[in-house]
Amino acid sequence: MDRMINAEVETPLIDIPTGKFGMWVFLISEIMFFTGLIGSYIVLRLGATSWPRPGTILNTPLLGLNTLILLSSSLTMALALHAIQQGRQAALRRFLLLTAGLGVAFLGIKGFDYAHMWHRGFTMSASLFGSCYYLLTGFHALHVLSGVILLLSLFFAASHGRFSAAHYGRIEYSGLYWHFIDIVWVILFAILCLV
Amino acid sequence: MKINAHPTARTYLAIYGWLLGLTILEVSVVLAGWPQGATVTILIATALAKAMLIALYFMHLKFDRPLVWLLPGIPVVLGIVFVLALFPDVVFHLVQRM
Amino acid sequence: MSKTLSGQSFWRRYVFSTNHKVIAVQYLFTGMLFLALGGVMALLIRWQLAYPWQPIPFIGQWLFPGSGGAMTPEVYPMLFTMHGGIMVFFAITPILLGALGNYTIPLEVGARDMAFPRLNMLSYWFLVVGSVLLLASFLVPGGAAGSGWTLYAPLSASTEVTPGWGQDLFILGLALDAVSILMGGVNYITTIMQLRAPGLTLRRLPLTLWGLFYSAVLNTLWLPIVASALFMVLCDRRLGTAFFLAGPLAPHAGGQVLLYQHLFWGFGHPEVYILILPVWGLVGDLLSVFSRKPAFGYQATVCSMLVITVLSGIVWGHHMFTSGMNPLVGKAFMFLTITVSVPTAIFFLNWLGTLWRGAIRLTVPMLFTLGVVFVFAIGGLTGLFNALQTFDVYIHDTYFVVGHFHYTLAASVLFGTFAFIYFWFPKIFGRHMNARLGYWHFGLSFVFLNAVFSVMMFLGLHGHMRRIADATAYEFLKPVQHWNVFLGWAALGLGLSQLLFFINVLYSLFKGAPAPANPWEAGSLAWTVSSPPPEHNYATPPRVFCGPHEYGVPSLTNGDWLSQADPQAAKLARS
Repeated sequence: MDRMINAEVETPLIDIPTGKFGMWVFLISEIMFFTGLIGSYIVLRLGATSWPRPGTILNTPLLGLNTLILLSSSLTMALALHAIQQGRQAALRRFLLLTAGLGVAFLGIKGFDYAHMWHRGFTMSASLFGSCYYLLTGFHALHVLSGVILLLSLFFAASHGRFSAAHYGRIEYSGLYWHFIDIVWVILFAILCLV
Repeated sequence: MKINAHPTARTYLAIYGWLLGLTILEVSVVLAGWPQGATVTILIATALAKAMLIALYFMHLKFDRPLVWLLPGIPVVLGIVFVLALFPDVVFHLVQRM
Repeated sequence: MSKTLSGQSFWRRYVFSTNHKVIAVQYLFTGMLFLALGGVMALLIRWQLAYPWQPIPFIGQWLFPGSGGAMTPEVYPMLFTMHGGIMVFFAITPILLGALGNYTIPLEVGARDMAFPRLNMLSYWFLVVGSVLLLASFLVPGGAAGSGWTLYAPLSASTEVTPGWGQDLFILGLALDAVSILMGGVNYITTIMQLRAPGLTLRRLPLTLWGLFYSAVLNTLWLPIVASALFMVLCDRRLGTAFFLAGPLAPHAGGQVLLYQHLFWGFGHPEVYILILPVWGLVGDLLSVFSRKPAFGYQATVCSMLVITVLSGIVWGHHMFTSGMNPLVGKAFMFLTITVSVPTAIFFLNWLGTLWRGAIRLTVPMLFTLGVVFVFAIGGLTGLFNALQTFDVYIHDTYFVVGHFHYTLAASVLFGTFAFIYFWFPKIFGRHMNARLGYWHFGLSFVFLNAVFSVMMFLGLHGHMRRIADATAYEFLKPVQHWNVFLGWAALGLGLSQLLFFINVLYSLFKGAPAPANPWEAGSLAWTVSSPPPEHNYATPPRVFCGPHEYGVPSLTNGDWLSQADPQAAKLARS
């Protein structure tokens, strides 16, 4: 994706690789998708007559741990890109795998947490909080899952030597996606799980 | 900062440190049980700060040319305007009783 | 269709192709199929309104065996729902965005293909799977969705009220189509902004591409909002939530029905601009080509289209004037909606300025283009009435609105579609379409189309509601029932006239006269390559020296136009 289709391109609107531009356009649609979900949550909550304190239902320390896991995965993703920019193949593979692993850990904890709370009666139909909680974190988790699959595909590509210090576009663009999911979680953590 | 310069591993680790610190602050504030108004303000501030750090450094926006900011900037502004437009009906229930 | 010796298998070349031209044709035929299906549904609707509960001739016994060939009350809502949903998402979008966009964008910017060819191929197949789900919804118990294409909660959101899976399949089909459109949007925006050939500045971009660009931007921004709303509807239906349900239908408190309308129309209004912007762009270009004059006020047109693009996102409340929405907010929406008429008037007048004192060539594409100008004027003017909160209270949910949006959407978009196909057919397939059939097609369509939709306006003013199956059930509508009969026959005329078009397309595909590279003497890049173009369009990136509308340049000594890629243009052209 870092190759241009047209060899000499006159004044592209922004002087960045095609793939990076495309990923940002995709992220625009993702920002708007989460705006629809999170925005609806915000207005429904502010317009509701009552709302439980999340801490009384959710496992705050566990969610905090999950946040730290996802933040760490953003670090490892950034370091993966940093590694391949310097041509360090082994480090790239290591960091990609680590990022994917942290993503899987995030999902695992989430799944465990969902099952536990559902069993205790906190379901999607229990309350508006329940509906919003599962909807928002559920869609977020689906995005994390897609991200993990993407990372694993990058890992396999890296194992076949597809990337180098001159050719690392896909790592960078996938990183943008991964960091974006992290940002969504950062917001959800604060305004859905804590507040 | 030179356009398209890349941060060092040190920078990434430093940002990570800030992100960890802000998260710990958030959890502490909630567990300490401060009044709702103060908690909400702090949490929104920390969430925004963390989001900005990730966007500027991990997503490289600080080092990209300014025009790139337009790409995430437009939907963020639009999203805020859209959600605000929902407030009169959904939040304040200023609907017309037909 | 392409003269390649690339040695690929039939499947890779024509079915799972990453070539934008192949994908465009796939979109075109898929879209035309659904256009026909949506059209047949419209005829069924008009029959029912013209002769309520009478057996439908010829196909009645086959469609409604249980009721002696007559429409049933359960099916009627499914018809108007699916007519709307199919036309908007599975007919117009594939034809005007999928086909027009995919075909013209790489050629007109001077690229070998779209920015992301494999993503492009994927986008088509998402549409196909989505349309399979949509068609499947007719076959499940309970039948297809019947809540209107607008899918308002609580009707759509509660399985107590609409238990069948038809509603869910409709939503899922739309969701897949949305993914398809978003993928396309990434390609269109990236290709237009980043892959333009040397010399092709934004000021030299054909207007068609500006229209497609703005359309793709609106899709990228607003489609996800409706996607989020539809997922919430799905959750309300099948996962026991109550985002859009309240009172006895809701498993828990706190949901708000009105929120759905805000989310839906937050997308729904930009959607109508998404559908019409490519037509506006196309009309701008075609008026120039067939008046042999530069597009009058090119920069003002591009700017007004931008202003409309921005404004379209903040006027959605005008669909909700009677919903109970806060009236002051309604006034804000009213004000903003009326404001849209200003940039619209600007580019409309620019169209007329292009025509003024031009050497008009009344080809078939030009007639359809002029047809767009005419019907859009009428539709746009009626929009001004609808924009007024006070007036809308009376005509909301009547045929006045139906007439309005069919003039601006169906009529303009339909004529725009025909202008697109008649104009680009020679380039795409390397053959001319039959002009005589084309002239008849235009004449008959123009007459019948205006007959149908103008009468709808008068019915609406009389108070004829929309989405009802039988006007004779209402005393005050009995005096106008004969107009419903008239509409039925006019609609049939319109439908039958389209046969001329389909026959023309099929015939010309195989027996049409071979077309040269530039049968219309057009100035943009696409017309510098053969018809059909080589597999990868350009062997070397073309260089551009002027805008695409250099017609009637005074200093020319031979011919009346300059191609964008003509080196002479650097000296002779105006920009």
